[in-house]
Amino acid sequence: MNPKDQPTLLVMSYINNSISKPESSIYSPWSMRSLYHNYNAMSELPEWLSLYLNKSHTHDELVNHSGLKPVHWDALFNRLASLTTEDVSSRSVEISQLMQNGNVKPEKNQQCYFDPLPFMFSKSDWALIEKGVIQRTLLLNDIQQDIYGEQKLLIDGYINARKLYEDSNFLREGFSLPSDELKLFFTAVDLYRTQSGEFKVLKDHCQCPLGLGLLLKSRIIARRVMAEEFADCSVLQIKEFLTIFQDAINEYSRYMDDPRVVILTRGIDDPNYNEHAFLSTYFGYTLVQSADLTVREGEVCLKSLQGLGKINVILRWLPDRNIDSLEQTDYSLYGIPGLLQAVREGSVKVLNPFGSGVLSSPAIKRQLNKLSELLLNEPLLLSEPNSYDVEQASTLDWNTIELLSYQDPDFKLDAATQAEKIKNLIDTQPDNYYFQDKPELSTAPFWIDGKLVAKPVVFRCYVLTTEHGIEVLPSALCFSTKASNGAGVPGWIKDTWINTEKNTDFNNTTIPTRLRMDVSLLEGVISSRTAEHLFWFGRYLERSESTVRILRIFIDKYTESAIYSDAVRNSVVTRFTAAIKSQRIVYPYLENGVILNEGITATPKDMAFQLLADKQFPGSIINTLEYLCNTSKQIQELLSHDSRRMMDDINGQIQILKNLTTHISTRTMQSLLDRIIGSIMAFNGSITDCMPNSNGWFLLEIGRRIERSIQVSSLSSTLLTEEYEEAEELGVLEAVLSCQVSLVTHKRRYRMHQSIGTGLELLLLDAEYPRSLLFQLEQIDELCRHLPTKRRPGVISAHEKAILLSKTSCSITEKDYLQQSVDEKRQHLVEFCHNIRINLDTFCDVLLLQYFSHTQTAQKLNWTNIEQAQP
Amino acid sequence: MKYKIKHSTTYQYSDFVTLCQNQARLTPKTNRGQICHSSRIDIVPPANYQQQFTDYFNNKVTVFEISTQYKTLNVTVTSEVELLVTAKKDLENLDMPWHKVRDLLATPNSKELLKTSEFILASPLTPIEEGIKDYALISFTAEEKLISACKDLMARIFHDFKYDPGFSTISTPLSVVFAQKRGVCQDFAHFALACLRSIGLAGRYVSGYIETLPPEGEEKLEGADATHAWFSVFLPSFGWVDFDPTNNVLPSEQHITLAVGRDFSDVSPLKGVVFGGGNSLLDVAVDMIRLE
Repeated sequence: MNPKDQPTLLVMSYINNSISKPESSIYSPWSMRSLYHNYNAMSELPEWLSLYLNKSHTHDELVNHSGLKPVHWDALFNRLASLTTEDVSSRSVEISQLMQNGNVKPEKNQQCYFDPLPFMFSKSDWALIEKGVIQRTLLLNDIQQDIYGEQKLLIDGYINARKLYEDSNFLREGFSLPSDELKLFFTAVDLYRTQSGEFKVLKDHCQCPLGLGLLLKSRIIARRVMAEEFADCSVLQIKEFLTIFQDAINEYSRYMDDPRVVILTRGIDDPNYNEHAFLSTYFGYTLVQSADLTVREGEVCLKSLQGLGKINVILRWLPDRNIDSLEQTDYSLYGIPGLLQAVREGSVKVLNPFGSGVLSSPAIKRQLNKLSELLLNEPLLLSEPNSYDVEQASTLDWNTIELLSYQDPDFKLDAATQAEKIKNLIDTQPDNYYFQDKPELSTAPFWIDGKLVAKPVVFRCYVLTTEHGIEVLPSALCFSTKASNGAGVPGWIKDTWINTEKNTDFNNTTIPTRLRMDVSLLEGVISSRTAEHLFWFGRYLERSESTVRILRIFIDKYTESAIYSDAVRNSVVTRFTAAIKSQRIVYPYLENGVILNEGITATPKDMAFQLLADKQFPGSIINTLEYLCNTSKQIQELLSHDSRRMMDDINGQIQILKNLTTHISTRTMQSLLDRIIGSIMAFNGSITDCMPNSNGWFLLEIGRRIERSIQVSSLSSTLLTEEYEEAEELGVLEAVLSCQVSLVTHKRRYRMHQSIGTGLELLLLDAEYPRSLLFQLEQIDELCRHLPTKRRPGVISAHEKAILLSKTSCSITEKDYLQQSVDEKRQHLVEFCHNIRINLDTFCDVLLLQYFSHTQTAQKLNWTNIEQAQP
Repeated sequence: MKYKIKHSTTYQYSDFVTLCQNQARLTPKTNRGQICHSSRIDIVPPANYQQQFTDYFNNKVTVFEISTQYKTLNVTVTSEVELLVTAKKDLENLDMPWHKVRDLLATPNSKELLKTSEFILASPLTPIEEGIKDYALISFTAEEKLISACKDLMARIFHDFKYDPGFSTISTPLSVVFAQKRGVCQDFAHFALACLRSIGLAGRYVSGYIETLPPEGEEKLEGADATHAWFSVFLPSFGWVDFDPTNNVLPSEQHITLAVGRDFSDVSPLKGVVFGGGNSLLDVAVDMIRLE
């Protein structure tokens, strides 16, 4: 049997069950209603679906637009028919969890729900769309070439020159760039379906088309949650498109030995930062911000740990109006001074090209029908809603139109409800506005609160212009917005499946991993900024872990002393309270402690609460965890999926800590601490496997070791320097060793005799004990070999000297020397720890200066004023 | 008339500059009124990257970068420019009612008109504020011809506005200049442009040099000449006609054009971005020497 027939047969029988003579009915968008109704009568559809079909709809994709033989939907519902309402809901919950974990997680106000039902396009609908999108992209490319070149369309009056010149996206700098720098690369177009069933255009996205990350993400989740349906429905794969995407980029840099491609983002304050980071991980391109790049002698360079590295291709997710703060009139913090000169020189490719934002200008899009006839000699397949000049106002039906502005793309007034305002505007500034038919979006079913709800949908299709032609991504971001008619940010999204009506080869399904691995990607340059974040990330990780441990021991000790109060226990608690309060054993590890809120006597429990959840207390766990989470955002493109999930857990714990009050019980604090340390350990576990040194991960390890060195030396110098009665000393030592997870080792190793001296030997001087200071220093020394050398051969650099000094002092010092005391104070230990601390600080300063100092910001030169020399 | 021009710009910084990137529009144009025979740009410390390109308004732009550390930057341009005598008679013969010019520009149907129609729009530094149109219409009466109306506008600005070098800076908005009726040549040029554009005429900003003559009997001081700015209006079938509202003259023998644009922001003679540097002091000196 022809394998092609198999699914078709299945579907046919399914339809034949439902209606008697499917072939005879004349096509009309309304015929499907009866079709599904009949089927419903057979009561084989699940209730959640039949309820939806029975509702009255204005024009719904499923009810009215699915065509005469909705094999594409049938294929889906064949599978889903067996699901109960509870089943669908549980899928919905699973999806929302997956969405969160993946970190394509918008801010609260941009919450985005991913629907458990995919959207199905029939083969024929998709063919129409694909053809239309290709045509439109060709047309836009032609127009872009003309308006930044010959301008024939303006001279001949096809495009109103004045309106175009007034558009802030018309960038005059574009004229001095080579013409092949004008070709579009990756664009998108928002489509909707009208009541009569045809597709129309809502909006073009020619600058930075958003949502590809969301689409990829939703496909990955859909493939996981709906694997069987996916296979059954013969869905077109998107993998090939993504391969072409990367091939096309590689083509721009094919003559280079080691091409470097970067994704340019505004930074973590960009609402779409998560998506940029996701794409960076997905494609394996370095994620950079403007400050990471600098132009030198006409070439764009990345400030990386290794120094300046030339960049070949920039995928900009940054609008072009403020991309070069030297050449462009508006000075922008996000600009890269000199970028346009580099483009002019042809040393870098910027995608999308400069100036393409103007293609969405009403001055152009209102003329596309005419321009298509003129430039392509064929009618436009996908057109915008009809538009009218304001002069026609009196001849129009105001119930069906809205007023739009030439200047402000977000401006929109509904003529039905805002008539007075509109009349006023078009009287005073008739040139600034035009009317357009209100788009009536079709609806599609979304799973909301346990049932299907009809919501208006927009389909965002993605297009790639390459040297070999135009490719359309065989899927779309099907979304519904919170705003009423389609503009704005996706609020609900669906994965969009295009039915191929043939068996899908299972081996050919999309695998959500990096698609290509070539040398340059593996080597992955990282910017100095990212390197610095990795270093701090390591420090915060270690700091949170250590602070949690200290707090746990502290709580243990004071609860114990409350039950078995004796001199030794009380003394341990007192000393720990003082050490925490003076911030000597917690961040900022002050050598000569400073007490916050002096005069207020805090009980040990108050102290514990402060250290846990008081934001006023610099070294508190809540503060450290927040630093940790913020830093993790900066490096999120380097984290694996699992690691990001762990960070989400930690984020959740921060939220809990935020809501704590001082009335919290000690027991609750303890269980919270257990959970926090559990997440941290799990996170540590998740990153150990994925730490290739070339990606700068060794910096995280350096940060961690530095922090640990500071901790152990400050613990020793704070709590072990005073000499007192042996039992008390041992009590404190025991607590210190517990904080360093070294109590058991110490007991085992020094079975016969334990003293402050043995404790210090283990914690500071033992080169083979993994938690000792010396061991950390040896590790740091080792890790520093990964840093690119910036010194002359034969000379030791400053940071290496600092570590060498500390190492040496650990190696040559004897435990008895440290233990000696004068006037009940171990002065040698104090000095030893002080010197270590100075060296560690020097090390960090040098690291900052030599490897991370990229943060110098540009300032505007005093532009010469023409008047400055005027007599 | 042939001139040798030396235009020297010096920045002094309190701190080291580690990197600077610049764009200079300091090469005089060659156009109908003048020929630039030679132009040389000397940069100290020497630039380690230097290129030239032509911008949207057909000005020559020199791009340069210096990555050696410095505290003093000097950019000196030496040019030789020959001023050509334009036929004033043609101008009078070709003058036409201003509203006809306005109508032609409203529907540009040739490459030249299209390029020109750019200049009827308000630009970043010449917003068309309230009252400006009324001010313009006093000169541009119903049947008035373009050039004679422009002469009248120029004269009115010359008499109504007080030349006051301490009053304005680059960032002083046009509305303040208009309200206080004070400013310098740049402000007067911007104001005139706003007037022209408010009634649909095309005006462009011209940056350049003006020769100053010493009082009789005194010797000319070095560096006493000046960078200057004026405006230019478009007369169809003739082209651009310059007006200097600061001196109430039609530039002919003492004005040399450097660059043109919609306003100052398009033609800034030297602009750049520096890293480091701290505070800076700027000094500009211009010498125009008659060669023949």
